[in-house]
Amino acid sequence: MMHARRIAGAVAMIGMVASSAALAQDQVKRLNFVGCPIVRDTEMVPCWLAEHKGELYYLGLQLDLQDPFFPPQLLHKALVEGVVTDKPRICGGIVLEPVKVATMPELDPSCNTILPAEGHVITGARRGTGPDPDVLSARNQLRARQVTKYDPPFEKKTFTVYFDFDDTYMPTRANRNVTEAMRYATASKAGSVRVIAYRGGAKLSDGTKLTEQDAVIAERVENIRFALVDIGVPAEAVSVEPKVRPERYTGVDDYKTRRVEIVVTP
Amino acid sequence: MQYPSPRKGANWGRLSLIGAGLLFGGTFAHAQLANQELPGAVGNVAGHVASQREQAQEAPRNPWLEPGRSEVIPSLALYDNPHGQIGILNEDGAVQTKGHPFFTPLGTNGRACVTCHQPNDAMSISVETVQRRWKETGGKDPLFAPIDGSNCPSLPQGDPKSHSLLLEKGLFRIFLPWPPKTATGAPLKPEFTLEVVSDPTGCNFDPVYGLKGKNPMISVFRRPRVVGNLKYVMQPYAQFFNIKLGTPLEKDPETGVRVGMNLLADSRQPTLKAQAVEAGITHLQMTGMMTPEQLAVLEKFERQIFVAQIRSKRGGDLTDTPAVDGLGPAALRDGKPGLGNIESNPVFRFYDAWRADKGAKLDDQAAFRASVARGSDVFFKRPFFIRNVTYINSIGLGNPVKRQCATCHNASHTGMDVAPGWIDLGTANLPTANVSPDLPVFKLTCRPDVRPHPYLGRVIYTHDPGRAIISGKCTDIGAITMQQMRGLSARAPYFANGSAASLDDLVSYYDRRFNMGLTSTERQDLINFLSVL
Ligand code: HEC
Ligand code: HEC
Repeated sequence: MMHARRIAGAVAMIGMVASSAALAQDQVKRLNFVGCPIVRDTEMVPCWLAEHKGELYYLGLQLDLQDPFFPPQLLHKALVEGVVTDKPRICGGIVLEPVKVATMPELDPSCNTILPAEGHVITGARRGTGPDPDVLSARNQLRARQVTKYDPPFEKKTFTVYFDFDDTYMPTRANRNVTEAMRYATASKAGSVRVIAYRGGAKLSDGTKLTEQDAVIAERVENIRFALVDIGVPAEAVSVEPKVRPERYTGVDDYKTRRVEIVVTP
Repeated sequence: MQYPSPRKGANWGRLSLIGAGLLFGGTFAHAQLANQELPGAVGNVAGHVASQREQAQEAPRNPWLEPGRSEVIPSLALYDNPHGQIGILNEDGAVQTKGHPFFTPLGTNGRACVTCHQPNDAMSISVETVQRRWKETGGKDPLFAPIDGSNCPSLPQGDPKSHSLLLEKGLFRIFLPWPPKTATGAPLKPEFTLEVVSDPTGCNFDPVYGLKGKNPMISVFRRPRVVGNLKYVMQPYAQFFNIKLGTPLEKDPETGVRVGMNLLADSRQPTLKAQAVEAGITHLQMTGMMTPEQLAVLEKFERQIFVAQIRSKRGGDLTDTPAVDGLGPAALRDGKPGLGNIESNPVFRFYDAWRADKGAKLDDQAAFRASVARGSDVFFKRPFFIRNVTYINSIGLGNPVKRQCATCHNASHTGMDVAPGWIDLGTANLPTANVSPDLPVFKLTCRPDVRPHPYLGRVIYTHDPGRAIISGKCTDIGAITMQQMRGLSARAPYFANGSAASLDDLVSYYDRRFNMGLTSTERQDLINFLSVL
């Protein structure tokens, strides 16, 4: 087990969506790797790191299911795809931002490290380890109840569902788009709803290429077809297109290749 | 055991009804009747009745509710248990059991639903009651019917060894087809192979009842669950999607309405009606089907019954002043299903009225109540690392996630999970299950091309594959749908496989499983808190 460098004093936690767009594409230092995640038991909430070539990288904080960052899982390697920043270290790790983190499906007992706080302090967590305060759940409930209204004129519209590498699980943020596709199809009385599943991959910084299994693609397409019909799209309107040939992935925003598109044509 | 009168000065109204209970309640005389809706309630009773009541309360009694008898269960019936009393509240008023399908042996083995769902035991059945019934009837009670009241129907019946799981842990045999079948009865190809490593009951090896029989069945052993507070259990908490699975919530096959998916240890039945049909066929050994009328009466009855501890030996009347608003069955009747939060709606409501200043001199009741209030804080706020739990750590929260009991037990009033369905807490799978040499052990080997169990991989040893018996999925192995946390004092042992003999055992399981490092005070506070739910 490697040791994280100590950082004296408090380190500001910076929002995960800070703009890296300011940097020109070619100046951006990308780092894509598969490595063990590590959790640090900091005050308030734990923070998440991943180890790569003897260095620690900061990924994010333990948050809620409504938040964009889903922490990785011990006992599994994580696929980390991020941009290296020169921000002050957080939690002992070099800050990757933006960053996409996915859990690799196979078990890896060697990834099992919980570090003590070791003086690291995080700030900016919206809530601690305790239950959701009212404000948050009220906001979430409101958000859940917010319904986009779809009015004519209707035109062809695509709803995209992203998946973690080799994963079929659709968390709320993903299946919300399935619901929207259904609502749009219903409002526009769509004659055609195509479910197109792409076979994505990930190119790591060391050149390794990982391609998703085709069985996973078949399962994604079937899950979404089933869901669309189950929540109200007429079965005869829905067609599926699992793409067996892998998408081109280059190491830049590869998460976009791991997707299903729902194309609604009124 | 004897309690002081629950509300001083209010005895008359109450006692008059107790009188009525003696007149009309038959063997329900032990139940304290506390509501006006009892048919034929008489006016005030003579002064000697209070003393009679005291002795009647002291004398040993048989709280067994016999199927097929004519009784009246009052709208509020109270029954003793080791920690105090349970309250059974019938919202629709007193229940006449005669001819009522819940209380009538509808099948061929003399059992009714009430056989295993006794009001005295919070509408489940405690192992203590099971043992008493064995002694009273020499093992002849239909409760011990060979089909699922013995370790295996092929064993010599009447020998306590053949009923050891029921007698020692209150477990019934649940037999399900293997390989599984879809909702329409079509065969479903499981993602894993299943072998029996050992089975002290013999039933999984049995040529007729086992996995190799003509009609291959897997036998697992589970506790009955509370039939009450069901509006919380049945509630679907999302519009379309099951948050844990990411797939749509199942629907009521009759109405097309989404269901909560929290019924039974493996969520195998979508509705109370579907569950009742299964119970009739399995537990009651009905040869025919229940009629639509019987099903409607059953569902209506089940939905109007509310169950919670109402008195505590040390804490007194739990609905007394100073009031806390989450205890007793009326709180459940009046409550709304929903997600608990910290500000306005904690899972089991507020205990502030029972808090005490540090170092304050308290009588035993006040000290106990203060402990309950602290226990609710432990349950609600005390963080620990929740690790390697499928459908908690695996759905985006991260593994581990530093949270508390209420993270999983988050639904108002029942402490179930509003994100419905099954969770592999570790109670069924090895090596995290409590040591249970009396239970069968299965070895499940997942195919190389499927997603493995997230924390146990592709070879898993388990006492009960849980949801995986229904879904055939590796991810679901050992995942158990949690049951409500109400009426705990009346229905030990705990967990679906009865592996926690007491609340103390239950808390120890968590302490060990998650390395909680509970102090002895925290532990006792938590136990006291659980005991009043
Ligand atoms: C032989 C004992 C027995 C009898 C008789 C019996 N049950 Fe049960 N009941 C059980 C067991 C055991 C379970 C849990 C099974 C499981 O989790 O797989 C259960 C679970 C239930 C549940 C689920 C509650 C929940 O929260 O999940 C309901 C409802 C229920 N029974 C109703 C009935 C009805 C209605 C009848 C009569 C038609 C009946 N039971 C007869 C043993 C019995
Ligand atoms: C990771 C999720 C999770 C956490 C955290 C959790 N539980 Fe549970 N709990 C479950 C599941 C799942 C079950 C059902 C398990 C079974 O029956 O095998 C359960 C069952 C129970 C039961 C019901 C027992 C019964 O038989 O009716 C009680 C009481 C309980 N838990 C108390 C607690 C307490 C106290 C804590 C905190 C120390 C806690 N739980 C933390 C998931 C959790």
